[in-house]
Amino acid sequence: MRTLARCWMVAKWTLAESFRSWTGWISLIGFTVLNGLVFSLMLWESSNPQLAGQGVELHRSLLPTYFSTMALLLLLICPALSMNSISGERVSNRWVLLQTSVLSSAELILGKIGGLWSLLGLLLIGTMPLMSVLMVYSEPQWGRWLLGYFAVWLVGTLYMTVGIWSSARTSKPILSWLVTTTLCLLLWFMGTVESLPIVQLLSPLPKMQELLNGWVGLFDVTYFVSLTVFLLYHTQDKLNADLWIAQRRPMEHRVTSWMWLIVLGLCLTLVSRTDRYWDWNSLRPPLSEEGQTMLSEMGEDFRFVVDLEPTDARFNRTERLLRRIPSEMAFTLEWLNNTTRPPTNQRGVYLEYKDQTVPLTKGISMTTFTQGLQDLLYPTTPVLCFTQGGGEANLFEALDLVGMGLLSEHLINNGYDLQPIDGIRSLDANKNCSLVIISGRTAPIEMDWLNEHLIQSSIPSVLLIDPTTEPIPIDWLSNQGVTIHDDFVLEPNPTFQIFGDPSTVIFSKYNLLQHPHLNLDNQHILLTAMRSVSRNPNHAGHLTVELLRASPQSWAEVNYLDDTPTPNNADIIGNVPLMVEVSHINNGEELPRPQLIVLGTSSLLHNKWIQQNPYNAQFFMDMVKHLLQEERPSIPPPSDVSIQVSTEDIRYIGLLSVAGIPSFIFVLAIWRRRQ
Amino acid sequence: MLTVSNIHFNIANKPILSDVSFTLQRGEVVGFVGDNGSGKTTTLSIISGCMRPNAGTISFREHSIWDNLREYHSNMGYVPDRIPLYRNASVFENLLYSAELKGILNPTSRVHATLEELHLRSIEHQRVRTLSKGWTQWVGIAQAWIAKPQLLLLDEPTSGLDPSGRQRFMAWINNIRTEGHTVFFSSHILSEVESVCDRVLWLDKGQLINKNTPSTIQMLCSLDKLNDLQTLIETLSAIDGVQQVKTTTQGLSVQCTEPARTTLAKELIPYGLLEFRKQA
Repeated sequence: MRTLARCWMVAKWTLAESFRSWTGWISLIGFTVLNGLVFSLMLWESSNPQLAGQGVELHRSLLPTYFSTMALLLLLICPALSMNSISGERVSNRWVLLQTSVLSSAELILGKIGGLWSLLGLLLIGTMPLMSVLMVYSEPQWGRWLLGYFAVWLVGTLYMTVGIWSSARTSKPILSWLVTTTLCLLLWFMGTVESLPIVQLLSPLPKMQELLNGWVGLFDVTYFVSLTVFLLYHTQDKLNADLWIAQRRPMEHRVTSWMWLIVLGLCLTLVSRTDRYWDWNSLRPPLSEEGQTMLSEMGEDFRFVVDLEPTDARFNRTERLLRRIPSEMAFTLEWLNNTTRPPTNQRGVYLEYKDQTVPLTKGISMTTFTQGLQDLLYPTTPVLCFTQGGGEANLFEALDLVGMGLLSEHLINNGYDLQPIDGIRSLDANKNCSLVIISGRTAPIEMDWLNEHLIQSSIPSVLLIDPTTEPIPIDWLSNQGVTIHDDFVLEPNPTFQIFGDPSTVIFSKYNLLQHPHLNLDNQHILLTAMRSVSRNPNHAGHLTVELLRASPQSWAEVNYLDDTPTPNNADIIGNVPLMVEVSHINNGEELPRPQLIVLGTSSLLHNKWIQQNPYNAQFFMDMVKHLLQEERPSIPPPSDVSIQVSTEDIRYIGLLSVAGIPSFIFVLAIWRRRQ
Repeated sequence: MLTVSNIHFNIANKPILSDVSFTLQRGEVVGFVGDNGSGKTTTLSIISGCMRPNAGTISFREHSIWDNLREYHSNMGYVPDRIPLYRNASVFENLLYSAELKGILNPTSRVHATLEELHLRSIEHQRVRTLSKGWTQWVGIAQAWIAKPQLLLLDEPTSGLDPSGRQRFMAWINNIRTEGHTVFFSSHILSEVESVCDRVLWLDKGQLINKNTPSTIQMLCSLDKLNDLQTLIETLSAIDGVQQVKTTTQGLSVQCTEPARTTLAKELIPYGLLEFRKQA
């Protein structure tokens, strides 16, 4: 207790000393201003009209980015705050006062670092009023934002510890600052080297990101604690060594730091072996019911084979994935090591069932795992039938791996067979199609064919309407509950136009209203010459869903031949529907299967657009998977709460965060210094 | 109370201190005089426990200071050549922190007592950076005195003090001597050292060259009869006040106190005392 009291006494003094000069106040004000600016800019994005009223996802997007940026800001501030901790005392000869006190060097160091950590705590507390803004405009999870602060505090304490460590090694504060900044930057960038897992393992960055994502890992926390303890021990050891300025310390006075390093290394290895995680993220999907059913069906014949080194970044992900599989599920889990791994094996994770092996090459997640289960249990190859002739350059004419050729390669690599359909009018086109894609068809489409194949045989299909398609099967589509309008969708916002053409638009989350099961968060699609496609909500026998709508500013121009088209009453104005999904409602089926997707343009698969933008192909793939019911059979992630602040409010929030809180601290500083 | 034995201190094979040994008794005020670079500050730094010597021991109350540094530091106050103060803090805050660092149980009352004792009340709320050099020196002294240590080490404590300040300082030293505190201080000014110290240690190029009190004298004694000098040396050494007897080519050189001089002369006369004079 006396030791703690002594440490606290030094910590208190260190903290108070920071605020006796302007150093502490300037740091606090500077940090609050910068942090407030970052916060305001992030909220500004939520108020962006291009988001079409969707706002920003709070826990998946805003909070992790906000806290990561905060940690980066601390990287600039912490070295400056810690540089004087020891070297400043030496320069002013005050170290003698501390040396001739009744405190041991360990107590002094703990006190000093305690003061710096408290200062760090104050910096973070200064940002907490901004959290109240989130509470007003959204419903943040307490656990997640507290965990965010904990993660940033851990990273900050590490910066401060590096600072005190370097400060003990020199009498020049500026040199200490330089060394600390360099080391902290190095540690930060080490976390970005994905090709070298062992280097990444030494960086605090991935650990912080894990925490920000809601994973509290014993290994991650141990990493911070052990690195901090080691650096503090080394600092204290250096101060003791300084007493022996005249000679080398005798062996009895040297418990070498290397021994401590070895002990800490052993502890870390042990902890990594008995790794424990606590998940604070309620947005993470567990294994879906479909997945559990598939897993039960396979039973112990299913083998989950892990062939990874513990240092591999995928190793932890695999462990976490396994923890999310309910414990009552019986299957064989095998961890390969150097003696059991086949010499030809590529390192990775493999799912095995009845002589079939599916590697998890597309990442290790619940989604890929469930897809793997599906591939093992239903190893059939879907056949995609493409219409031939006219319209867009089709798959089979493309020779190079660009544009449609690339899409073709991509589809084949994803396990699809591709088949051409020569003439839709001919009824002999029975190719066992799993899916029919009618894209940019300029020749007339036979209604009987559509009815027989798409309706009676229930073959799912994608209909990409080219504006020049004649005749558009309007009546047939009307029977499905879909209306194609004779118009062109125009986007007046030049930001989203390509080549200044309002009918050629880049669509992304900023100007698309998308159905929740689409995931266009990081994608954008290029489309041109779009007709509006709307649904008939009262149509009997079909369930129709609008999947995409254009921005609130868009409209569908009926008089598109006008030189200067303007929206009028005849047009659909605002959030023009672009894509509709149709499902046939059959009695006895709880959830109708999606049967048809109609998009008002075939330019999605335009060779040029696919070449310029790979997301067009990706979007098409998602569409195919969706119709084939291959898309994630797991339950989609629970929707995150979003935050959206009006432009008007953001001004006040910006004023509060960039000027209000810092000004309050400034007034506090003046008042405190006058006392 | 404090015994320094055979201290050697080298940096990069260059000897800074060589075989420095002395003792400080309870209630004794000892001056430490030497030229610039002679090793005074280094010696004080080693005695204060801030540095380890290459060889030699330092015992406080017959225990090595290194075995219980905490105990030693709680009984020792040190004013280094550059006063270790926090310039942005007030005098009171500085003294309070020093008191806490010394582990004093009731630091606030002790700070008040020290401020009274050293007449620093008028500046207690001033920030250190606004103080004159003389006041800063006094605050440094107060800082070292905050725990009323048994041993007070002062490195050039009067530098920066005006003549009246020096007088006040000397009076204060005399005062704490009567309370039984031991003071060991270095200075360039021999007169002020002699005025207050019981004895002075001279340091020259890292070596103690003489261990004199200001009142001891060196007598040169030329003798006619130089036989049986050993008996004479033993006789003289037994005289109260005689500290050292050495043989010379013409007789003896005796270090003694002034009062012992008469007795010394009486003992020397039977040996044919030719000359009996004080060494310059």
